[in-house]
Amino acid sequence: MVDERLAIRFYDGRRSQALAAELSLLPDQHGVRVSCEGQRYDYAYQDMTLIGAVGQIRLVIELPNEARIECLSHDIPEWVYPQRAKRSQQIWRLERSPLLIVLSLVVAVAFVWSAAQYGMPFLAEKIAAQLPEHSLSTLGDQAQEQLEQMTEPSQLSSARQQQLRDLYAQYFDDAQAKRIDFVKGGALGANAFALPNGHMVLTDELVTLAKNDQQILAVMAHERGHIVLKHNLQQAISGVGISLILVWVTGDGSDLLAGIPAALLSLNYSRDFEREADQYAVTQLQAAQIPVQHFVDFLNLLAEQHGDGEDDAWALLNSHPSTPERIAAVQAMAK
Amino acid sequence: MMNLDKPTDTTQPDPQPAWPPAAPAPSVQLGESSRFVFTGTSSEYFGIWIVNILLIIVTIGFYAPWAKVRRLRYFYGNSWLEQENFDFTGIPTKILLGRIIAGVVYISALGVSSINPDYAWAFPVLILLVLPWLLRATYRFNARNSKYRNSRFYFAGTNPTAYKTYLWWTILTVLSLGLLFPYAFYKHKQYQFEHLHVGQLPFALHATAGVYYAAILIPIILALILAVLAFMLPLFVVLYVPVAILLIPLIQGSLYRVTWSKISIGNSKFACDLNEWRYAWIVVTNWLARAVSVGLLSPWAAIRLHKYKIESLSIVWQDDPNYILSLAQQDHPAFAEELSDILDIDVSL
Repeated sequence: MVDERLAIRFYDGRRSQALAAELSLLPDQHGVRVSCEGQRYDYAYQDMTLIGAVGQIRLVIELPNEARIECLSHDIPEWVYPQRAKRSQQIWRLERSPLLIVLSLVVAVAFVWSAAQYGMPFLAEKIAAQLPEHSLSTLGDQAQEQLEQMTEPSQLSSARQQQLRDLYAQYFDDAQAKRIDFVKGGALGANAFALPNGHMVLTDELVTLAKNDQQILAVMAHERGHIVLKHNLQQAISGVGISLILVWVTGDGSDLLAGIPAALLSLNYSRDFEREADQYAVTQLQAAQIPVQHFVDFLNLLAEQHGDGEDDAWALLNSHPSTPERIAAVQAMAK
Repeated sequence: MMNLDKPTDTTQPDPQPAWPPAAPAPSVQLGESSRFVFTGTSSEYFGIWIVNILLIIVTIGFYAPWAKVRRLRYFYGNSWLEQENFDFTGIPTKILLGRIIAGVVYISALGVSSINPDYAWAFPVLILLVLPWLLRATYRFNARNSKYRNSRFYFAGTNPTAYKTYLWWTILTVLSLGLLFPYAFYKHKQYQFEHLHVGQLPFALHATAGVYYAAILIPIILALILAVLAFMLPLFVVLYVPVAILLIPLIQGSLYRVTWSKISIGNSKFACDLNEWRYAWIVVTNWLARAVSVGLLSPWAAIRLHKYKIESLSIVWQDDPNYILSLAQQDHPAFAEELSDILDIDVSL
């Protein structure tokens, strides 16, 4: 038997004083009646706006003319507000059940992690493929300026520089050859960069470290991989994407706290990009019929220079895979 | 009786008795003061917070307005004055529409400025031009959907005043290289409170610009003095470093205290005994806790800070509280619902 009376608090909309009242179902079952201080107020369901319970706060029904019903407990009969009451009661129960809270936690963490680890890179790659190569040109120009400020002009003769560019043009790409620059690395040592504006920068130290020009070609092939595969663009998109995901998921006002995990993730992306660039370099060298061994030799030279050993405890924090790993991977790719 | 929420093993039983059927008559006298009370707990809020996140993920973000309404309702509903609580009555569907519009604008602007920094300046400029309108719309929306004893709040500020307050004073602040910032902040608080009412009662801000200069400059000067001392005598670094870290929250706490202690409602005055050092401490330790817990302690941090802020407030009655609290409620003339009612942004300054 449905109990058709419920004690409630009622605001009549004229006084800001809550009154004790009783709620009952209307005989025609299309609404409710509030009986309060000898008065009766009838309301149809369609005029009632339900505001669900949250925590200890009771369910409330907003009514026309600023009237309001406040429930006194969480036991709400179904006739008070059919249909809608169920969903908000279910959510309310979900929020108070430890088992479901733990489940939510697991799902939330798993989602964010997999979105960042797999979803974002996948999406970034697809988007980057659609965008033109020079999308980051302005950013790249700024990066190049900064690089040049950090370093001194190259001390290689312009003849030597041109020789290397010509070599590159011979095996790979004429247009790109014009966008190869050299600087004196100084603190940067033997190094090479692929900038977002499509330029490649090699340091003097790297050129002099190499035992022959094929080794330099291998490095240039690797950097070319970064440019052709739009790694800088993907990195930028991923960065934006991760922030967006975290804001969107936790954006209920709490401050963004992505710092540590996001930084770790972007290092991970870098390692993947390095692997891809190595793969690209191997393919290009094979196509040009340059022995891949030159690449391996040069990686060894670099390792000796930078002191990169077998046991790299900081592997997680490096943006490059450790050199022994790289060499092993390159040799495997070359088969 | 049909029980929709029959207590199960996993649902916690109600620790409090059912609420009294009628509101108790206010027992406070003229001349006395009433303090605000916050009854929210982090354990309870954690469930709400994490389920919000779960449902947002599952619905690809569409649940966000419902999550926001539930969160606000939790914080409002656990804030009490004289045994009556506040409520937030915003309708999630309206918020959803506004958010979709805002989201599209935000993402496209972000995309443009990431890819071509040459146009990056367009985004802030656009925001600046639209901001006063958005802020006013937000104040109106939040006020109209906030209730105490079933009296709605009401924000009467106009758009021209909003533009003068925000656009004009922002330009002046930039031109003055930041020196006018405390004054601009004062104008902002004036705009927020001088046009606010609850039921028939108006709010008013009795501060002068001077208190805002003091609130902002004193911590900065203190930090500078300690910096100079630290430079001359390295021992002072021990004092300087904590102050430097705490500087922004210190200023925030001071601004909160200084503003609320100068606000009146009707003839009664607010009092605020917040201590900005304790406030700053809470903010910084919250930040550390959240960093260490990868965000999982965010609900705890939010409750902790909110509780401190709310419970530092009290009202000193200079009208008869019985009269004020049960004031006959006359609704302000109903204005047509503008598009601005749909938009909302979270602005907590």
